[in-house]
Amino acid sequence: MSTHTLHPVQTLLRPGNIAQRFIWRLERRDALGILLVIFIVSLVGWLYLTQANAIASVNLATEQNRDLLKAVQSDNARLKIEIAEWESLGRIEARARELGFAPATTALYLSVPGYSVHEASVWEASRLELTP
Amino acid sequence: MTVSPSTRSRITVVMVLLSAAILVLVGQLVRWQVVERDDLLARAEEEHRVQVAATIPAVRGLIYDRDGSLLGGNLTTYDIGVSPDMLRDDEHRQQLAEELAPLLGQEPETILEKISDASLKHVYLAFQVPQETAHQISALDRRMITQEARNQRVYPQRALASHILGFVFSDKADRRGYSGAYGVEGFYDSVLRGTPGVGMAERDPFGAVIPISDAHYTPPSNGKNLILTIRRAAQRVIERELQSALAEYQAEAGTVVVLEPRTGAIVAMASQPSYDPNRYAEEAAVNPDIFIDPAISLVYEPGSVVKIVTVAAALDSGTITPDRMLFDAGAIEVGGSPIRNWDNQAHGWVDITTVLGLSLNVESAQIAVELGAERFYTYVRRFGFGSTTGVDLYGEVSGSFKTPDDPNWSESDLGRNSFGQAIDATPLQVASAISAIANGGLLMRPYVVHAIADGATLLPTAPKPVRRVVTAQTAHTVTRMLEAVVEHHTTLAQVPGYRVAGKSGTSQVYVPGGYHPTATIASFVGYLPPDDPAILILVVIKRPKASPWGGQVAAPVFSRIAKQLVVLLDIPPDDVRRQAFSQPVGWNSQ
Repeated sequence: MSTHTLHPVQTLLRPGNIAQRFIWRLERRDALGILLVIFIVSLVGWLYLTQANAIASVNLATEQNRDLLKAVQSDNARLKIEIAEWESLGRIEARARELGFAPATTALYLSVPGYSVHEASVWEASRLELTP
Repeated sequence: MTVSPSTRSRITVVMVLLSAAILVLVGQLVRWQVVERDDLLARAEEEHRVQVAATIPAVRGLIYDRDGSLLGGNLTTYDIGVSPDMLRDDEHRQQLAEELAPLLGQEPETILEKISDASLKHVYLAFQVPQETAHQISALDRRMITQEARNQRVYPQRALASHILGFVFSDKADRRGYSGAYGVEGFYDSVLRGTPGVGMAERDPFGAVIPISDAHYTPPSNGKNLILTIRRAAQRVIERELQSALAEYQAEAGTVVVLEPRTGAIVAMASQPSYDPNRYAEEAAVNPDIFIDPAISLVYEPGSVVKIVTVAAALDSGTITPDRMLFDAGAIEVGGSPIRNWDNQAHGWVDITTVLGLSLNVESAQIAVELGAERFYTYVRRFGFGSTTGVDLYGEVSGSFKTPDDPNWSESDLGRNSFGQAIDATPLQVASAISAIANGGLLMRPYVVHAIADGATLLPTAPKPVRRVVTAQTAHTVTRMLEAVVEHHTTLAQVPGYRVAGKSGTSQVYVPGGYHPTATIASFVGYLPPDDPAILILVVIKRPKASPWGGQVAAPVFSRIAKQLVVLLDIPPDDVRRQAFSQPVGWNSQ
């Protein structure tokens, strides 16, 4: 009967030895490493999902606010038009006539003693942007 | 253990092959990650980004009058549609038609007919539905109903100042689908329209938008607002008076221009017939020419109003002096053509003021001949005739007249031009030219936009002098003459409490082959107070039947308008100014 000598590599690759080596490492150090990796991956995943959720929420809220702004601006524009229509001279004149008003045909100017017309004119001119 | 040479060589080959493969992979990675990085990134961007909305429309700028009243605004309206292929059966269609009918103001049968074809993807039921109705339709919560928002231009003052405003029309050629036309809407279209925004987002392989992706949103830049020099109260006065004048004198058309001579600002400007810009499509179907603004786009022969220019040119050049006396024989021949006075009378010795007051054609022609063609036409051009005024309104024309450079010009043209015949000008050109006399000799560019409002920033329009046309002394002399004209001759133009400087004009209507035997254009231009003019008013009445003369038709309209404007624009009467400034008011006392 001849003895069969195993090559060192073959010895290393024997299933029993692999399991023994793996179990040894799992127990000692790798288990901690794997746990750490799992923890970090979970943390990154959790952070990613949280951020994605936050971005999606913000995007949704932005869209809703944008729609709301658009609606408010549309309402505002409509109200401006309505106000302008109510304030149109035709309507004002008609309403004034109903209330017994008549068109002003003359203006009455009152003289105020001590009032400087020159200074008032300069002030008025500056108000109307006529002076540089 | 020993490894046979053959095994070793096999291992070597495998190692070499693996190394080569790895090298290829590394090379390819370097190519993608380093060499072609930018190009590949751009391609990825292009492939994955999609415009969520084609464009985000910019809101068109608003138009206000000088006192802040809204003249042109925007309203969001909706086009309502339905997807008939999403309706299950006839009962479903009937139910939808009955729900929508009262909201859209249509009969259920009409709606039913539109949505009866179940093979159709989409049909429109109504256009430009108001916002409130759109909200009510949204409340029905029907997925098959579509609402497309669109901006609609609205003019809340209706036909007021329509020629100045213009309108906004649907324009398929424009990417926004609309464009401004005529008036300030046309001239300032690029300012009012703004720049549309763009919304971009990433899409998945199926084309759906990824909600958490890196979205890009470029907001629209809204159009700028315009604040006009127009005062709507003054505008209403001139429109009402013009309309009533056309009825009173049975005239075809008319134009009124009100300017501030000192600045060139247009306070009011109107022409009749007019239109409602809210209903431009209906108006266009009836009369497409109604949109043309006669104040800036149609020319007429100003008639005797041009005598102001002739006299001013002669005085300014020293050809005549204010006290020059001329003998009026009732007729004169210039270039072989006889020229007569409007009344066919001879008035004997007359001064220059009387020439203007009686509007004598013979003396005008005589003055122009003395002045000489070259100098006469130089002054006519200086006053702005024959070129556009540069007003900021769409569609201005320049007008024209013949000069000695034209081959068919003759000296008889000089005679006729001296009293406003054969000179084509727009009403605004005439008003602008006479403003140069009123303000002391400066031709100002007329303008209608007081300021452009960009957010909180206001960009005011500065009054722009074009050139000096005559000296201040000449302008004052002519003004004194025109004051006498209204005081002694054209008395219907007078305004109680105010001195007025002005001149009437009556011109024949040019028709192919010559002049119409009876039709005229009656006009009057005047300003007040003459020593410090606040407003200049030009009234042009076309083809009046009640009377052909400017002094009888246009002068009273001027007076009626001026009486109201002095109150509205706070122009004190002469005695109040005299009292307030404690100094005499008027030329004679200076």
